[in-house]
Amino acid sequence: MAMFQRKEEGFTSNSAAGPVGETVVGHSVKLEGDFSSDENVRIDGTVSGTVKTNKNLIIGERASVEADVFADNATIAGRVNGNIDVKTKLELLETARVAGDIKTGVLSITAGAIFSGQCSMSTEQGEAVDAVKTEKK
Amino acid sequence: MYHYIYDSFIGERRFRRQLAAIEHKLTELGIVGERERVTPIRTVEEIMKLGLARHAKTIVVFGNDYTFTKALNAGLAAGMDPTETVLAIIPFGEPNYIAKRLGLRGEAVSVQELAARKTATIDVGRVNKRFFITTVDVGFEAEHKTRREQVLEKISAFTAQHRIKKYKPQAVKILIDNQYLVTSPLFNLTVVNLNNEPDDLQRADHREKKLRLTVVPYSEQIINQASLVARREYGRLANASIFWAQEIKIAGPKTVKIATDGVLYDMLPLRIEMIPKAAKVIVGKGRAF
Repeated sequence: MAMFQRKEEGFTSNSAAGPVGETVVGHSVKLEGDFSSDENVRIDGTVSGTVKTNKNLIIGERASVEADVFADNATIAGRVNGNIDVKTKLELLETARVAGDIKTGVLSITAGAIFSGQCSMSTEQGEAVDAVKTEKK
Repeated sequence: MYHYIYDSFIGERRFRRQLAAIEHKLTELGIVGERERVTPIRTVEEIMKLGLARHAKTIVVFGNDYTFTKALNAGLAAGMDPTETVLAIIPFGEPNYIAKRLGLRGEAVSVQELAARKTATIDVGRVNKRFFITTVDVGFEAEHKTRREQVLEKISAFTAQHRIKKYKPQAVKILIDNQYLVTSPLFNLTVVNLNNEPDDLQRADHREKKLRLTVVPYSEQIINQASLVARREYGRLANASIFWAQEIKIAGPKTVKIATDGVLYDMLPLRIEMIPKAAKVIVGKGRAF
């Protein structure tokens, strides 16, 4: 959780303020539909539908996402019901609760995270690693 | 050819000395033209249309933010062409956030910039049939403007706390770019084209032609951040959401208050969009874009 307290790649801490173009879905806001952005996205509220960004995605501890998620990098600390397709690096923090299939280049799962679904990873050479079914960790 | 619009309050005693000095300076610089004063029977809008009908190359508004936005609205509604006509403001009285954002801080500076004739073509927002330069406020911020108090008043954190306690939130629905729907028990919503506050974070993304939308849902914790509300820094509230959109549609109860450029406006529903490069204006060195 310490990463949410410091600036990282353009993200600020608990304040909604951020660089031009950064989208923030705050707590107690509900978003439904197909959301897409070319900039960083942070979700602390409730989202259903689809979430796409060409850059970084952060799903906060209090967030609830019922959507398929697409991002370049993603850090998840909340609840996600849906498939996750992250091009570069996916990080599940200890409070993450993910139900759905994951596809990513680099995967990091912190002890305490819960993930239920299939996982497919591509190597540096772009080869797909066989899908591995995972359960509660 | 220059066409001057003098708002009615310019004739007050407190502005006489400044006005005389500016008129003298303009004459020295050879910047002369038709002068038209706003009267009870002759509005800013009518004088603006007169200037366009005379094919004035530069229309100079002597007044405050409200004078300028009235002139701009009248000009755009009449089909003002930014390649043909330039708008300028010599700021008098308050509020004058627009002039500051255009880099025109004070009457003397504005006259110099008018003579230098440095221009910029700006994006303008449209909300239903009205145009705005700075912001559209829905909810709390708009509720504290009456039809008489057309002033962006400064309030203390204590006053803000008192008003927050009395505020009744209402549910609104916001459709963004016809792609996704945002719902919230609304405390305050601000759509920004050109920021009218010191908070540089509230600027729109003019490169991508997107307006910035800040949504603050109501919660009891807002009272603990009353100082931010007093300074209108809604984007810094812990619960604020930020979206970027080319088109925003807002629906909700008709009792929700709305203000555009600091003036009370109509009622919901709203359709808000950015009109790129809609107007050409005289700008100064310290402009905010």
